[in-house]
Amino acid sequence: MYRAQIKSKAKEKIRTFKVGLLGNPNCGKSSVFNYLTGLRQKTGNFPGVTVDKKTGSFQLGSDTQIILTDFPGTYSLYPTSQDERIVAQTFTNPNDPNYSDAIIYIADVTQLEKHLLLFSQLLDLGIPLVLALNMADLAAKRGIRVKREQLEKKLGVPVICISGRTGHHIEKLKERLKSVLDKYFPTINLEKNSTNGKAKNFYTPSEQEEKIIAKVKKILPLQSDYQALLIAHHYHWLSWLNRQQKRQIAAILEQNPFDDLRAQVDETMARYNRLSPLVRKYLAKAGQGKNFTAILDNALTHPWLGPVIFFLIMLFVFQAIFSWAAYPMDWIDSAFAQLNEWLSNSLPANALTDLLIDGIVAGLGGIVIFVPQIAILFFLIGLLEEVGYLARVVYLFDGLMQRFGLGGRSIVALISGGACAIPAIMSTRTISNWKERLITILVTPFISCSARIPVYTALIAFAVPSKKIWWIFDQQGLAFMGLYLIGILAAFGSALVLKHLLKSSENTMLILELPEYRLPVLRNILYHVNAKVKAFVFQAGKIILMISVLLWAMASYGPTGAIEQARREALTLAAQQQLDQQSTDNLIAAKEIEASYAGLLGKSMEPLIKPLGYDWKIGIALVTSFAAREVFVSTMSTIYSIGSDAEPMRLKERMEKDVHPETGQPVYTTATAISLLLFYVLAMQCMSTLVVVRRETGSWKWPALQFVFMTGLAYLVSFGAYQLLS
Amino acid sequence: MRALTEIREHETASIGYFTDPAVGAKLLSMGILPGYPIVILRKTLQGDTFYIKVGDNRFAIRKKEAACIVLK
Repeated sequence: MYRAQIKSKAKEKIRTFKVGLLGNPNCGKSSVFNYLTGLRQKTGNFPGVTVDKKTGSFQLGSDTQIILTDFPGTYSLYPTSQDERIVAQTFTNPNDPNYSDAIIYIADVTQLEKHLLLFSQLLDLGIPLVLALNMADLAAKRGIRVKREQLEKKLGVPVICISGRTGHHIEKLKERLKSVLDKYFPTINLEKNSTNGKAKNFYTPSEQEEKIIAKVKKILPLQSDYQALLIAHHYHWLSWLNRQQKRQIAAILEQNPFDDLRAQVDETMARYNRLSPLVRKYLAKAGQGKNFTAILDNALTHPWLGPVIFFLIMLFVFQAIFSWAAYPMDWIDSAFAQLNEWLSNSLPANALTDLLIDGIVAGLGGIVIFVPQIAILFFLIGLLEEVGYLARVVYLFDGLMQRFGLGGRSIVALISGGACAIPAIMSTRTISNWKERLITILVTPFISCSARIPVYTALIAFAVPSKKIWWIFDQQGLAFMGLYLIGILAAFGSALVLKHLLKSSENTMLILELPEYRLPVLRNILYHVNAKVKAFVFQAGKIILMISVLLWAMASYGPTGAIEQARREALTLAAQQQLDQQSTDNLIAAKEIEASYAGLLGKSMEPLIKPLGYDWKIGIALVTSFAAREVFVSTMSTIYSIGSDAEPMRLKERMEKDVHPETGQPVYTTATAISLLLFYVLAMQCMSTLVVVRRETGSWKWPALQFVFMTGLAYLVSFGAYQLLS
Repeated sequence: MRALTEIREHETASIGYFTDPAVGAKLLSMGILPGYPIVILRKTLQGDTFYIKVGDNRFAIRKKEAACIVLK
């Protein structure tokens, strides 16, 4: 009993603080975040937007628990992108769920002057701060020396030199954070007491600004004058203000007119005027060392050599997702096949077992199968990001992509989409302009992914005779390339249309920092990969599993008695024709799928798809393809009772022999095959992609729109092609 | 008075002021300040994006934004 008491007492004493991690882009924040939280981190979204919010926790001594939030890299509290707006939105509102009790500010010591701008703004917000000067290892190598103690005294906040790369002084950073928290939130009085020993304001507002601040503070309960000033600047887009509050602020600004942008520039200049002398005084710089960045960029950003190198790198990335991922994907496939076999041998044969094996386990397999592609793509993209190369990609391709309403980074997603749209769409999070990101997400699935290949193989063999034309080129190979080109054309064409249709309030500016090249930190990349895989498996995975179980049920169940009757018919027929066991099973499978709900749906779709040259059999395959495009081949094989694991070429032979029961004409003509090929290039047929699009855009509106315009376009093009050719 | 778009590559100049306040505000927040030395290191093939160096820092900037930077 005595022990229990101590325990509960200790529990009472544990205090939890929300701490924000802030800094400019490229300040090395994520390295520090990974060091502080280790694997105790999770990724979600900031409210209302799909911008990654990483949170993690760590312990400070025995009595303090820290919930650390990694905010997007930001230059200033005057935001120019969606990412930056999150920071301004959070820190102007003391009631925001992410509002921090204290802030760890990370600044790159090799670029201290500009990294201190945001720091000085945060200082004026009145939130307790710890300033961590990152890249201490790099600074030492370059002969940069910081007079830490003097700087600390001058700024009035703890200053520590750290390295997120080597972990240098991370423990010290924690100690200083604890001392700051102890000072601002004394344990004796658990009430928050943040006015205690507040540092003096860094920026002194003008007379006009003072008047506005006083009036804004009267309507809103704020922690500092600077919050009031920022609200006066940003009130029109701050979503936490209600309509009445916005009207009141607008009225204040009408009485006390101030030039928003002018004031912002004046304030920023005033801050630099104080910061620059400080940096000069407390930072001793030695001569510059050798500059690898300049040498590398001579080649990597060269007007024409740069793009060539980029395509070579992307060729490598593409190769990696396309063929290297095939090995682990095969392992996953066979592991799930073995699991299925084991389950079906050890469980009683009934409907529940069927649901478990063919519905749930198969559905899980369909999710896990994407993991290798996601992991490999994010490993390689993470690597390119860490070394600083992706910023150069933006420089090289911004101009070209801009014409299509896309951003420089979109090209990475589009090329990756050639392997699989899912990781490609997930990779668009680094596009900071929302409109550019949205268009990239919407058009990427037009790029032919690896799942379309088996379908292309089966149908090209059908539609295009294999014949050598010009030297080594085969007609079929050219047709293959043609399909890829159609996909690319559709992607850029629809991007152009969307560019004009979608409205955006965001400024489109490109002023992008090109950071120095750095050696990558493997740990950061692995954490990144881990977060992306988890996001897919556990967040998108849930919905994908539900849909795949539904699709399975549709293909396995039919109206009362229909499946049993189909089975009996098949057995009778097999007995008449004296079929062997294998052929009988195949025939049963064919008759059963025909009688299932999916079969009924395929048949009822026939009038709709007839103008495209398809019959109900293709209709069923289109329905089941929604689980994954390559399922087309196995479904068609099942329907033709040649077994679901038949080779695409056998399917082709079987399809050629199929004739209309009434007219005696072949069911599948070249026109049908071409129409179907075009349909598979253009239609949105992948539920996993739609679920990921939902996750990345935050609403079902966009995947619904994507489904309608892609499938609509596919319908029109296939219709046109079939009518023209038949 | 010349804009940044009017100087040749590798010609170092000094930043005077910014004509567009929104672009100016963004440039300031990124540490691109009046009085700093600026140089265009290279341009893309189409010539619509510049690779510039301001002090020790490198940036990519569109021609449109570069036109807002007036040199001393």
